[in-house]
Amino acid sequence: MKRRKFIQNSSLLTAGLLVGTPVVHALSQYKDTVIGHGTHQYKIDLNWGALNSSYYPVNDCHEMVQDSKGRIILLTNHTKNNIIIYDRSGKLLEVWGTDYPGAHGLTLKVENGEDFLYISDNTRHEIIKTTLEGKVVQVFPYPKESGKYASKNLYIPTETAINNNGDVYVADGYGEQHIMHYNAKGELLNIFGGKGDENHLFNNAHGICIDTRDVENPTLLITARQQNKLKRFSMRGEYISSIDLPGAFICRPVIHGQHVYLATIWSGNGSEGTGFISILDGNNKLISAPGGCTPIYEDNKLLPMHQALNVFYHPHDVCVDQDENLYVAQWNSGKTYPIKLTRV
Amino acid sequence: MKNFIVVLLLSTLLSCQQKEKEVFASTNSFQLSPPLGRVDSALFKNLAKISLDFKYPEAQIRYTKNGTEVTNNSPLYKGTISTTKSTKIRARVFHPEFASSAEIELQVVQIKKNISTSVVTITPEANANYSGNGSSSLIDLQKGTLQFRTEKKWLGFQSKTVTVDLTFQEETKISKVILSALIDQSGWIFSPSTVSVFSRGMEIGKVIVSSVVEQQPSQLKYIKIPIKKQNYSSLKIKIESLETIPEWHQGKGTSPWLFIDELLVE
Repeated sequence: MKRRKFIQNSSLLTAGLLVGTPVVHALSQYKDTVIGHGTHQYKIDLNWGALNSSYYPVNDCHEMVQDSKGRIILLTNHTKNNIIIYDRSGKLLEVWGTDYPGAHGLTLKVENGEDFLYISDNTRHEIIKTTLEGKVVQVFPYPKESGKYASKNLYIPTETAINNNGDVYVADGYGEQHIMHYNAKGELLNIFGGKGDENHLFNNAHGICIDTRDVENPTLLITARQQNKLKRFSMRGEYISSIDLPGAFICRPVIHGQHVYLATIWSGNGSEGTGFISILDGNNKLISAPGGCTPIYEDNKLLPMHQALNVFYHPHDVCVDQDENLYVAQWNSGKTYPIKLTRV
Repeated sequence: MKNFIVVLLLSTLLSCQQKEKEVFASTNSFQLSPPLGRVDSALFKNLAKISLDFKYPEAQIRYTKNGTEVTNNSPLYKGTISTTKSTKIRARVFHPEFASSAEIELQVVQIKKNISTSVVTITPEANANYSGNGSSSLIDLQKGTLQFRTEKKWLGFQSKTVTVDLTFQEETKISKVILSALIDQSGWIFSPSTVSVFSRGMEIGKVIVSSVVEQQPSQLKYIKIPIKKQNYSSLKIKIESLETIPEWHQGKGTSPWLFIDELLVE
């Protein structure tokens, strides 16, 4: 029953997209679809995490993280159950959360051996830190003291990144495009970024993470989604460089091992339903694009990316587990549950 | 009886194990995405270039230039297509394993008459969020693209009727009016339902746009309205939206958006 409900939902999407008289080659043998390129190729489990939507509904599935016990945690902006916790097989373990109407960003940080969640709520205009059981331990309200915000409503945070010393970075991706830097107590230490086209400014600073691949020299990676760029800043907020991903409207960067994974919500000319997943290697080159076209570099420049297959509609985040399987949460995609990509 | 219980236990165990196995989506679950299309100048004087792109192994782009549907027998795209006259290209992608893509339509229009010095008034005014560069956006020869949210070329309306009054700098001989509109159903933007042209209060041309198709890919649409060929000093163009968004759309029953960006005359 649960599965049937999901299939109904997903077939709504697919059926819609299939109109346009597709020519199916009647004689060809169907086999498992494999998406992605080179070292990072995947089979697709469309039914992973499908639940009965009358009991455990989702609106947008915004972000996913894996906790220290290996469980997969999904954040949705449905206030019946903002947090849905699965095991890796997609079995439902528990749900909680009814107070996060604008649940958008989800970051997990282990602090003194305990997992904590940082929820960016863009309707409440604040960041909420909770335990894994949902107990609120700290709230980061809108940064009035910065003097950059005339009212709370102009602050629409989308993502957080937490440093090992407890410092919290917040990206105001749907607001004024500033990046806030707090200490663990919630005192504002610095504010940088802002709206604009210049290198140190943003157009849709949708995601942020701390790049610790260079252990000696951690930096911030911040999404400039409408500019199809990932921008690198020092921990003090100085612009360093940009990674150009033309045609890829990327969400937050997720670092796993030496790779960066980015749900890509739109592609090509930015039309609806054109998402895929982007995977960068240790040199920040796009090496695999599950659901997308083949990444090709000419003269060290990436040719414009586009969707190749309609596997995804609007991927919004990707979670990477210890076996490097991916779990993809989608925004505005027919209220469907996450899709799992199993690495082959 | 004992044996029966053992068998029952075993089969229960086995079925539990089977449940763990993942089921993967097969190649018939997915459809190719449409090709990327680019034109160097959607409105041109002498020459326009149209290019198509789809970077995927074994994928083939096929296209037509004569307005007919693209099939797997249509010409194979091998490189940029140049044209010296108004042309409509239809294209789609084929692959041995996946269902072929939806079609895209790309159109380039040759400018026959420059009316950019005319006086334009539009009633009602465009929505403040989609007001382009004001009413002269309609005659500035700047073509909008599908990126309607980020560029200031489109005029967006949510009213049933939009009226455009066009006064030429001098009398101009005209046989056809062309209105360029946007279709982006997922953005709740639908094609106009009728476009009529008036001169001195008399209707001199009218086109009823064929009914909306479900899941039409986003596209730029040119609506051609033939009128009586003669000299005109001014024209009134009346654009009617769909009454409501159709039943099959998530916005059913509400007012659709109307997006226009250019008026041309020939």
